[in-house]
Amino acid sequence: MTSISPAFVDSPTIEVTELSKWFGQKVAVSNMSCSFGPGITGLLGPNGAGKTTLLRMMAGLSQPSRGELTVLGTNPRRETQVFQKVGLVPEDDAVYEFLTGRRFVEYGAELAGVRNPSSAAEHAITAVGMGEAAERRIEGYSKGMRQRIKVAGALVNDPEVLFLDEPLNGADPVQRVRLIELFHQLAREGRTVIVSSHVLEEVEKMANRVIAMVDGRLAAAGDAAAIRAAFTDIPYRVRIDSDVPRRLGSALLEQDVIRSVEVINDTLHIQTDDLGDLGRMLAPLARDLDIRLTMVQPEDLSLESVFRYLVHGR
Amino acid sequence: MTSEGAIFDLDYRRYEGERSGRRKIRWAIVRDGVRKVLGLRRKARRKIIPWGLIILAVVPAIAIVGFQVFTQGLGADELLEDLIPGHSDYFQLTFQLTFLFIALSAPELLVPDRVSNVLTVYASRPLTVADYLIARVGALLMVVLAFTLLPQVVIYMGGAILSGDFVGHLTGNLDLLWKIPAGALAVFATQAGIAFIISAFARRRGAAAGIYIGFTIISGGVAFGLAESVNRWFSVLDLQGHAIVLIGKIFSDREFSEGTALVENNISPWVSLIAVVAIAAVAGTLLYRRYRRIM
Repeated sequence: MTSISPAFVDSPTIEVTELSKWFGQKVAVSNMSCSFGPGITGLLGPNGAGKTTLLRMMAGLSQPSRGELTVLGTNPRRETQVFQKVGLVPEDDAVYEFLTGRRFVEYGAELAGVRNPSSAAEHAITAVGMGEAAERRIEGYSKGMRQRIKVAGALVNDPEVLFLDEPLNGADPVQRVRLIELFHQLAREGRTVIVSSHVLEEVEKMANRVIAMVDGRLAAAGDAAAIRAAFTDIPYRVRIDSDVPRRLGSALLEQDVIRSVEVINDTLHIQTDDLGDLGRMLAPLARDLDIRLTMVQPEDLSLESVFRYLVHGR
Repeated sequence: MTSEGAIFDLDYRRYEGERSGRRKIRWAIVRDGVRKVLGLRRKARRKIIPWGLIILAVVPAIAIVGFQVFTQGLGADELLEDLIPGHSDYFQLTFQLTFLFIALSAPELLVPDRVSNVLTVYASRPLTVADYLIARVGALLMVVLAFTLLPQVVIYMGGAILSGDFVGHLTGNLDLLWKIPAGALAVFATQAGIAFIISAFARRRGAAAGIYIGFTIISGGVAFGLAESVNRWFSVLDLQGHAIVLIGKIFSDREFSEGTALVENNISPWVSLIAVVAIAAVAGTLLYRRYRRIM
């Protein structure tokens, strides 16, 4: 069995091959190669990393300067029929303010060639919880409501591939939970959902796979823990709470697996190269010293830490 | 009151229906365009100008027919025939109204979509740049044709009813069935092409309309001035004049186009035909190239 790079998936619905995009002198995306498949993939990157440009190319809104891109096996710029199976939630307010929410979603259905736009719109509006406000004009909507009606507009054609650019912007906490659950459900149904967001906590809740971009290039791919593990030169940080932190700290310093120990406000913060070795060693050590451990928690396995390492190196 | 409860599944349900082709999608954009131009589903103030212009174009036709009914049998038929405007005369009345209508409608169709990023909605759907543009131009063409044809039909039908020989009048004026649409098309091709090009670049609807009106008026003045002082061929710059010359030619009514720089300088109507086709072709190409870049 051969293993493939984490940048690629087994059954891709979107394939990006040596893709570049430049605007005059500015290179927005540089030689990207990766693929996307069913499930939720988070597209991460700091501002200006090129994630929106990549998303726009994948959604057929922008022509690549070089390289190849296929969505569901076709070039989206040449064969626009593929958009019958694609949905897009753009970051900007791409809505007709004077239309009611329902009419806007219905119009999206008509543009996607859905035979029964009213019924499809009704389903999509219900899915995003906008039923009560659907008859109001969009100009009177809050930011979160606009976001939800855009999501409804993207869902109305039952897309196999869904591009979401900052989809939770402005949504209140209840709606965020609901939308995240909706995206999970779409992923469970076998759809490809690509989420670009700068809110890492949200991406962490949504995506089981991450494509990270820095300066227009592919910086990392995989799940957050796997990407973190790839930083072999950066030790893991672990927080340990115990009843006698200083004694435990002294004992830990004698272990090969520990790089450094710090006690801050009666809490131990250690650095280690191998979480597995630490796990195997820590419990017997505490038992031998008769120390009670109350919490052991890695501090930099989160997407935010991984992202910080990618962008800043530390 | 009941103690029973239930949780309903509000989650997303797949669309299982059929999907329609591009023709139907284009038609959806045409319908949307017609609504925009006429201010339908918009606030009342958005309806005032388009419907005001339509009323101004249609009401005189109804008044003419009414006047004919009122004066019928007074024994002044020959005198009235000279006084009551015919089909080509009526074009003269609607010509400036059509000009204003196009000046205000073309920006309404293109500017907001582009400026407020709604083009994304179209670009991420199964349609091409050409589909979008054809549908937008088609929407205005439909309304302008209706705008031009409706009063002509009123006069045509009124004439048939009042003639006492309904069928005879209709069959005796069958040529109007192509002349009237051809005249309306000449007006549309000349005026809308330039209005759409300006709208494809302007950031505000009012600015686009103003630039178009100014450009048309100035081009007429410049054409007159240069044709008189430099060379008669400069009269081809009189853009409105081309449509007027063609309408005059279609209705064999030389009086209609008298006073235009083109007629004053003895430029053949064929030149106007070529100019109108060229304006439409260049405008279409520029529009397509512009939208290919931004969509």
